[in-house]
Amino acid sequence: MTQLNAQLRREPATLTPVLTLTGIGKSFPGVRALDGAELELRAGEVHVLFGENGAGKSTLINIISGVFSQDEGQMMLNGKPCQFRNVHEARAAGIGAMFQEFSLAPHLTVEENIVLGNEPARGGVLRPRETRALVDEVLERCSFALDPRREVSTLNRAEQQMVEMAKVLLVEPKILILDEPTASLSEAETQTLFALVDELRAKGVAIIYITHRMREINQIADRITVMRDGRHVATLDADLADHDRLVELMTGRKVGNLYPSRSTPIGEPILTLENFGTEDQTLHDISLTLRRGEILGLAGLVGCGKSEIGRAIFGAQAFDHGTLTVEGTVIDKPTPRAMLRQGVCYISSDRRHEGLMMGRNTSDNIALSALPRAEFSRNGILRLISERRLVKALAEKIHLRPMTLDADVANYSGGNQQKIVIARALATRPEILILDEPTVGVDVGARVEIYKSIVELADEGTSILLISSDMPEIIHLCDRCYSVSGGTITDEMTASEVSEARLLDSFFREHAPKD
Amino acid sequence: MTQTSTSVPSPAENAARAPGHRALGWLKFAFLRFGILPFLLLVVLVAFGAAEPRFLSGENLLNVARQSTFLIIVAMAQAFVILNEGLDLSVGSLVGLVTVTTGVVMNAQIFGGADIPTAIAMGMAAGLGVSLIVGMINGVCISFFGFNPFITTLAMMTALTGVSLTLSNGVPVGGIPFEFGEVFSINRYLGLQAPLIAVIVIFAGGYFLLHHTVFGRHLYATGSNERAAKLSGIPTRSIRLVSYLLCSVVTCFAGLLMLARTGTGAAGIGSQYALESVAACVIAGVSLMGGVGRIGNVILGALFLTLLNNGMNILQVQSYLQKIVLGVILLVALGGDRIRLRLLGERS
Repeated sequence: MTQLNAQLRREPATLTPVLTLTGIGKSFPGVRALDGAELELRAGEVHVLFGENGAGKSTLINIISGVFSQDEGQMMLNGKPCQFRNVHEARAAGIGAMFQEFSLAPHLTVEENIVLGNEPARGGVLRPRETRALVDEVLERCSFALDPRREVSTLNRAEQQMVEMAKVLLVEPKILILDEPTASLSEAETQTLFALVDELRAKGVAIIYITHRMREINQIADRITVMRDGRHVATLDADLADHDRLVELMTGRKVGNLYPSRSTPIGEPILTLENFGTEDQTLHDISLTLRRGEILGLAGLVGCGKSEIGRAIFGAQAFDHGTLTVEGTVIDKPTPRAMLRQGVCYISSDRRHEGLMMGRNTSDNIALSALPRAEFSRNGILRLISERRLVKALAEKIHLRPMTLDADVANYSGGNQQKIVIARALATRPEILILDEPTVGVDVGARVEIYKSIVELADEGTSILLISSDMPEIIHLCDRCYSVSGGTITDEMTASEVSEARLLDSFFREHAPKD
Repeated sequence: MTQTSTSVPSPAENAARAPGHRALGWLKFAFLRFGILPFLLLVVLVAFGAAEPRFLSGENLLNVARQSTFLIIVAMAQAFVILNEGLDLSVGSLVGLVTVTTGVVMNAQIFGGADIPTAIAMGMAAGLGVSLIVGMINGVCISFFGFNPFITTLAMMTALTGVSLTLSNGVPVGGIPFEFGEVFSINRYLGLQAPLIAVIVIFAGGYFLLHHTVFGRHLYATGSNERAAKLSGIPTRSIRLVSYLLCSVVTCFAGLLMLARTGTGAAGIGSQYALESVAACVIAGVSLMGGVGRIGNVILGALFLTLLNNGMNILQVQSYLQKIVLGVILLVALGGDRIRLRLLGERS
């Protein structure tokens, strides 16, 4: 695959920069988001913006796309100073941005969404035929197979992403900003996206690409700009950048080994599933065993059903047949409440919607699940002093930074927010911990600390079910892993047997796209 | 206030960033920390006090305190459901229904030959009974059937008015035993009349419940993020049901005290509280999205609304104009809250 990529990657068409940013500074009340940020973007290149969460990447692209304006520094477009007061001006100058959060209206159709804000009209009256032609043309250009009349809410995430992309490309931007565009895409969809990016690059579009994934950088980047704490750290050619060097630049310190080693004996089976499945066959014929003190991986592509297995065990989602046994007890209808009492805890991959209470402070967020426990309350009345002490200990254990227990959790970066959700699970002292994509949207620094916590927990005898789309994570962290495809388990391998090739092979073994 | 205290920059920080704007820094600090309510209170006190010194007399302020007790109680009741991402528009007509039911039952008891204390006890029990039923229906419909709170309680509001009118045959219920009014409205205990004692007890109880019990924490959690709460093992539906029951029971106290004060039961009594209680909560910074707000501020919110009313009455502002002012102030309060949240949010 890598040889192919090397072929696809071509020399930048020109070396003159289309966009230059120098000495950009931007402050928000209480936060210096950017301080001497720099970026030089050439036509026909894919320029990766790399940095931890909170390094200022988002603020920088928000300035380029006209959402914010900078406090200091200069932006030059084609050699001329420029300043956008709003998104419209930036769009008119040929800058299109696709953000992580979709900007789609769910109840409008694909077509209506694509032209949203640019509707062909005369005197305020829409011109349907022109619209259709325009939309057909842009879908053709991107080679997206989408029905323009479908309502966006009926599309899956990957398809919605295509709509978003078509919307950006409608105006044929000179500069295209992509903010973690593959976060929700499967392998095949990612390759489609990359093909499109290659095509745009060949046409001379300058592309700013934000990603945390090393594989993507290897595959499509021409140059990489690393940012840290709102500053420009380095800009280097992709050929000269390897993983360790980038991590070092990004974190400002040597990261020896990302994955801690472990050597704890694994105990008896503590949780088993037999012939587990749902009526509609989204999950079927699943049997697995989790042992005490084991880190068991569930690997698979996005949408393969691995998350659903974890949710079903915890009772966050129903299952129709099969036997779930926890510590010798058969559980018929799991509910989150009952499972927590059984010592099973689940951490959702969706921090924002299923994890944190935004607007509440860190302490409340950490203590939430454990409140009925004797250390936290007696006869329903909170023991505030004891709570404070325990929460502090947990926050220290997970290396929360900064340690402001009274601050709103919304103020924390993604990595720290994930730590808070993990601390909440730890407060219940779980026997079994189900982690669903624990490092999605988490920077490398926090990632290392999360891995350390996971291994420490397992060493203390907690059994861990690690559900992850990140193959290195599965390969380096798990004692044993199953791979999931098409709603069932297709392979099982121990730490000594697991490899990227074998995982990939099992992913595609029974994989048939459902849409 | 502890939740937000550390996320707010210290005034020193603000002042340092904008030298020469020290006063402005302090103002901003107070605004971020306490919201717009203290400013509105200050403006009202100063403006009305300057225009009419009588407004600030001890007698008048005492009068305001007395007037505001009912609204304070209903607003605290409302806060329990709003904190839980709910809404109860039926509180106003429930006050009316409680006065009518209690009055009718008292009269029937006396007519049947019961002695006065028994009649009063039975009447109050009846009032409490209907409140529990109303809270139960609201709670079950909203938390277990997933009905929309706005529509459910709007329907309840309409229905309850009808029930009150039917029970009372459309005429106010009189003949309330004098002793009832004496005990629950006139007599002083340790120098305080019953309504004020009720406010203190409900506030203390509510504060303890919200900030010192597991239930209270779960109520905030359910209001803040229901899915997260559910995955944390919290019985969110039961929590929600209990919040509606609490709301109705606390509202019932307001109804009983109202009946003791006026000596009449009628369908229309208290109808203004439906919207005023929501307004008091919103002005006090209780978010309609749930999970944010404090019960102490709700008391200030209700006091503010009553002060405003009283002040405009003393200044003889036309009653139509009063409504306009009230509307404008509500919008200003909402706007202020949005600005505050944005300033706080920008820091993330």
